Amino acid sequence: MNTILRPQRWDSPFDDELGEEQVASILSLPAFLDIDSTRFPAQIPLAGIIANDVRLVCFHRGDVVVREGDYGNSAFLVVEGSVCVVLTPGIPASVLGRTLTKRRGFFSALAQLWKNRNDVPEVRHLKESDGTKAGSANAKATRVDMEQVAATQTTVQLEAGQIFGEIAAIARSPRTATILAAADATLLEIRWQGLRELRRYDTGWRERIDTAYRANALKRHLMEDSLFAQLSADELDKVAAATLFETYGSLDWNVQFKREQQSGTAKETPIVTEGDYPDGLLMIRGGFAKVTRRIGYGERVLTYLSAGSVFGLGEFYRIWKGDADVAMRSSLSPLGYVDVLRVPYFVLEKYVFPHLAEEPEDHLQTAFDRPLTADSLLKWAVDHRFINGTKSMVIDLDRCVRCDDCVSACASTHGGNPRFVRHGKEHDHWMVANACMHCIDPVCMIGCPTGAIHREEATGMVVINDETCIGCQTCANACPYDNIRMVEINSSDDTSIFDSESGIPLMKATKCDFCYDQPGGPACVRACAHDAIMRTSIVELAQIAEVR
Amino acid sequence: MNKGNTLRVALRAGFGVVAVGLAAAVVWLDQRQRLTLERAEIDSGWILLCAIIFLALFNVRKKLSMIPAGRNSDWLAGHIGVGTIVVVIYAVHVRDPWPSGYEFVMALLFYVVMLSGICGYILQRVLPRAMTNVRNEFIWERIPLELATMREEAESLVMECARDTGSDVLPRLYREDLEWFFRKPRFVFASILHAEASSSWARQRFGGVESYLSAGELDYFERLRSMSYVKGDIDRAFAVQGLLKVWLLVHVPATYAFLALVVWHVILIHVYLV
Amino acid sequence: MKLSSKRFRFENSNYQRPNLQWRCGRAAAWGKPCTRGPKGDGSCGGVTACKPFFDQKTSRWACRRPLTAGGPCSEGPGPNGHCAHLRPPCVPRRTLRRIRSRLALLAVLLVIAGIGATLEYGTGAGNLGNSLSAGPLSSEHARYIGNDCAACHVPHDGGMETWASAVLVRNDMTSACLDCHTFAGEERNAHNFSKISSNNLAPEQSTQTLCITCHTEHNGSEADLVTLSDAQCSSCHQVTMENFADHSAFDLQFPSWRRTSLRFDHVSHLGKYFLQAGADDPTGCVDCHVAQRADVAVPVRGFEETCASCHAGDINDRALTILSLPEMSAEQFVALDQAYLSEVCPSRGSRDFYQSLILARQAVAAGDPFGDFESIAYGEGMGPVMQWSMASDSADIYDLPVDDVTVDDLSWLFLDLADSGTSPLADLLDDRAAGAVKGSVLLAGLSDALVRQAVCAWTSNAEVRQDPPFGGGWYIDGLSLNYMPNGHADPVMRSWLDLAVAAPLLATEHDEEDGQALIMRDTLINPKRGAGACAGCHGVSAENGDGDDPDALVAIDWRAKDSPWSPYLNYSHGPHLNLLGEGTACVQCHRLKDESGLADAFETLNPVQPASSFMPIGKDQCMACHGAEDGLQAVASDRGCLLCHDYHLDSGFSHQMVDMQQLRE
Repeated sequence: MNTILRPQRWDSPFDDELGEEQVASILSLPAFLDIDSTRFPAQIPLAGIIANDVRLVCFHRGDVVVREGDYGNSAFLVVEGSVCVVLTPGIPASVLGRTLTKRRGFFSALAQLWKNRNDVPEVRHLKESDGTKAGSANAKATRVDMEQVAATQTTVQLEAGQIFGEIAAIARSPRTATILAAADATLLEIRWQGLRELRRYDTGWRERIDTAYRANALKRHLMEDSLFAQLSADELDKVAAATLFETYGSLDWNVQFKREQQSGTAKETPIVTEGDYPDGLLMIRGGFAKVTRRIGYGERVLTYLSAGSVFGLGEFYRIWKGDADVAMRSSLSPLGYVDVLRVPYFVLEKYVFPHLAEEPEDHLQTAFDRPLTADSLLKWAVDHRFINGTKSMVIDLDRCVRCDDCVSACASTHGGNPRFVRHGKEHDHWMVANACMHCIDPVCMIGCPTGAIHREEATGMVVINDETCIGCQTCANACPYDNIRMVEINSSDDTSIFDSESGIPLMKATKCDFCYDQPGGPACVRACAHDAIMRTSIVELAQIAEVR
Repeated sequence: MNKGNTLRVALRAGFGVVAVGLAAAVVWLDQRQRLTLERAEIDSGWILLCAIIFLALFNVRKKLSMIPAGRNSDWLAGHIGVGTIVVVIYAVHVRDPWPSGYEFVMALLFYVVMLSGICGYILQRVLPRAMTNVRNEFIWERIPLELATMREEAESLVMECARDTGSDVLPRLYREDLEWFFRKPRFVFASILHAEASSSWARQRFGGVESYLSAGELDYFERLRSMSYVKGDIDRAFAVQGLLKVWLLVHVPATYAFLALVVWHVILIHVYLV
Repeated sequence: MKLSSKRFRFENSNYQRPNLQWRCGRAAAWGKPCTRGPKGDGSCGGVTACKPFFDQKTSRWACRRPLTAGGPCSEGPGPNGHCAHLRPPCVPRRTLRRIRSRLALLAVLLVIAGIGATLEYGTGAGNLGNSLSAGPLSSEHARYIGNDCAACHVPHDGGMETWASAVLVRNDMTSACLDCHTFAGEERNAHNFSKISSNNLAPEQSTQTLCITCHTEHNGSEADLVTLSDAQCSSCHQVTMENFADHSAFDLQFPSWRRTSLRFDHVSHLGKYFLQAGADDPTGCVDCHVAQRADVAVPVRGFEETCASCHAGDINDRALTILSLPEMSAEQFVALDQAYLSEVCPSRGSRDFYQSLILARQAVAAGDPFGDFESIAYGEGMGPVMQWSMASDSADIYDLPVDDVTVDDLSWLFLDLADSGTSPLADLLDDRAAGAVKGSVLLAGLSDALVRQAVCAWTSNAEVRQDPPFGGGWYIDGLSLNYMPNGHADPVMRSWLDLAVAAPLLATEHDEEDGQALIMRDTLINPKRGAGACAGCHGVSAENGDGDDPDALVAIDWRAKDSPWSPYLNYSHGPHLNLLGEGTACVQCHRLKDESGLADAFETLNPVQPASSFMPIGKDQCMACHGAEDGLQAVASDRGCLLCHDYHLDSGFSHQMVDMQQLRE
């Protein structure tokens, strides 16, 4: 009988070199002094969080702390020194360097041919936890010329006690700006798991994080949107001051969504209803919203909006042009969770419309004029929230011969264990199979206690670190699409591995990792002999579905 | 995706043109060599062997998904293209369609491989569409589990109905017909040709019994009937997917046998002729 | 009814593993499969639903059934820790992929086994059950080779090493073919090209070929090994012919590249002489040519049947002089050993002796054999034959004017001849002829008595004049010993002429002797004056065509022989004759010239020159039937090139049928 002690949350600390004195000194930082440690539950004490979910990293002047566009799972607190946030125009990639995914070499990949176990599933060579590091070590940082940066870039300096990087950690989106060490700095990197607990159990931290998140996200979004491209920093500040940051739904929208799926009802309160008086331009900062128009007794989904989209520009433009009776032509409803920036009309009047070359195009009318049945795929995708996916596994059932070569190929790149099941919801001849869609908003990552499920830095693929997964099933339960599967692990001699304390067979969470470490890319796509399988977003699928 | 698609289609079309050109070149070469009294079969034989090895490499590629070795859809396009011209090159190499001796067995195996390949290709183009029209999608290997679950459900349904209503019409229907129906996939061959072969059988059975039922039984009856339609879907899936898997049981072993004989053939040619 | 999507949940649906080898036996029997699935070694994995755990805290056994199987069961394990859901083990079955792999392996093994099993099955190519068989042999080869594959395929009888080396080494089957098949020329050359097949029309190249280049076996017992297609000929001969009409024009001299062996001028004979002789139809070819034996040539009947009626007399008109002597003076006579001669010669005074003697001087009749008389010059000296035959170390004897020839030079000859008769002459000729012709043949019919008579008369300073015997034979005419042929094909005459053409090649130390041989030859083969009139009709040809070369082998064309255009042209007159009635077809192709020009052709020893009484034959003559014009099917067009042309030179077999009786003896 194979038994080992069941892995626990903090078996793999974020920083295994953090000693007790260092923990104590961190706790004595101003940011942590005001925390009421009694609010934290016994299993997750504050000291434990500091000991296991944070790490101290040192940077020299000019080191790149985070790159814009990289994915990240942690926020930072400046302990000593300062950092500067590069705003505009941004440092080019040639200077910054690129984060690269470490892929297997050719022969290492080929070796899988004979190393894969095709007799026993889910073989693990487990030993008792030895405190292996969770994330990738802080590799040698790239250094840039700070003088050059000072001369060419608009920056903001952050001093000790300030936090940054929370947008990427909370929203699980790419880093919004490049951050460099302005002077030699010591930073406290708090991974999402720690951040989550701090936010949950301490109001001060919750406010600090949320405020920072909202302010930074708002500012950043306005800065990057083309509508405000010509504005100066002062003007942008004024616009930012006037703009409202609104959130609809909750970050863990999957809970609500699953409930709705089971009961069969979905009632979202619209943000904007068709026919309403226009009340501010809505810019989607995060999450999803659907645009609908009444048809018959129901609502016809015209499109869905995600981060970067705007809603209502056309109506405001007509008002600006002098039309008297302008009402909203469509409704906007949240899909699970959406962050919206509401920009008042006077901002548009003063800063946006004078610079617009021509009237904004009305794509929605084109969508509305389509035949009724042309919507069905999009409606279905929106209803099931497949719009979240960037790499949804879509199988064209008219081409698929059910040979399972895709599953075999997936198994061949994962030690003989496939990572998806060739079934899933279907619409017409399209099936979205139960393979991780590597969502824009991966809700599976929210509750992970160890950080085993994380975004791969370079590409943003959602990946589970098998060694640090403790098999708690949080992610599997959270995934709204049933794309994460728990597996019982076996030892090499075909016997289950049990927890020595409870006798429960140990499990691990597994899912598609988009073959991020394989040299050829996703094996399923390469293995299909009939071009039946694709990893795509719904937008692309809609385009393809028009011809196929 | 669409842009890449156009390029891929163009490349495959180009490959097809090249393949046709190659076939024409082989035919021309063979004619020319016959006229110049060179041993035309030797050259056409080597070309045929290379083409056959390329065809056989497809099976090797399928086992090598872990390395970047090209897309299987490109490989299949190449397999079909080269497979088509192999027929031409074969005809050029083997003038007599029915040779004697062990070459007869070779020719027979070649025809089996060729015909099974053509049939398989046709099946793969035609049948998936047929399955899309079925309401529910099933994984072939899970059908026994689906049927077992369905049987349990049907039995408990029928028992519950009997307990609630006291009527034995449904239990009897189950015992006489449905138990046999739910035990394993039925009407397999008919289901290949006709999607509703199994469901229509079930419809007949249920239609005949409906008038015997009381109001209380109707709900159970409906559930049982819709379950039988799902069973019809399972039968269709089993038949069609089974056919899609079984043709390879002919194509692949015949290919291996053929390749073994090809090795023998090459040895004999070099010992006895060249 | 659309099934609920709850079945996709991870608790309800685990991964499908197509790479595993086994599937649950219960599922194979359409029962309910367990969730665990078979073990890797193919044994049942679902005997128990879980592995019960003894909880130390509660001191009870607890069920640990996994979530995908439904979570912990309500029954719980038994008191001994056994799972409550025990089931008898199933017999796992192989998955379809595994079955496919095994079928593939089985197929390969079956093939290997089949090959091995039939390797020795029956024997020989004809036995199709044999895995080595490449198909049945043609019936002709099968009859002789039977089951002996190694007759052609040497590595057949060898073991693995032989086979391994045979793969690397080139197979030489041509030598196997040549075990039985023979050809006149070089077997491995195209067309068996060699010197003997050459005429001035032979191909220049001598490409190396293999038998199997054109002749392929193992095509069935009814296969035709020898018929080849025009396309195959065209592989080397750069002609593209749809039909005979496209054939290149025939050579301007075709079909005579060489003068005929007999000098028969068709033009003069058919135009003039036959008419003079009173023939009804002077153009009837079959009067002389035997149509029944028509082949490449249509042979002529013999001299007796065709020519004798006019030309027999010519032959009996020209005698051969083998010995002639100058008339000698008295002093020369005196030098002779008269005493000896008196002994051996018959009595000089006898009537018999002088029967045919012509006395040179009346003085002799007075009984004085040694009377004075003048020497009469014999204008031609000793005659070419004698000059040639009388080889001596002294060159003088040949150049001396007759006056200077002393009796001493010839006395030994006279004495010998008087003594022994013909034998000294025969010996002399044997010596000179060096085996080219036997002396006994040359002097056949010459009696000792006649020789003695001649010699004795000469040494008596007398001459004998005899008429040529009726029916031919030896006779003395004055100072010469002559031979008159007894008619056509006289063997003595023939042997003298053979000697005459062979003599120049009998190498001697003396140029004068070679020159003498040439004179003798030229004298004898002179068409107008040559002995026997042989050379008047029979051609004398130097073999290599160069008559001026003293080393050229010269032979007399005694027989009327064909000189076919090419050994590769297999035209046969047979099918072509008498198509329109007897004797009518000849002039279709053989059209007489106005003048033959044959006389010039026979002036030289070089036979290789076109010399014919007939116009050259062109393609047009053949086109009438063999060209496909006017929509008519060409005659025998399906035969193609092989209708008229042969590839091989004199193909034959090295092994012959033998009489068993002979063999035993």
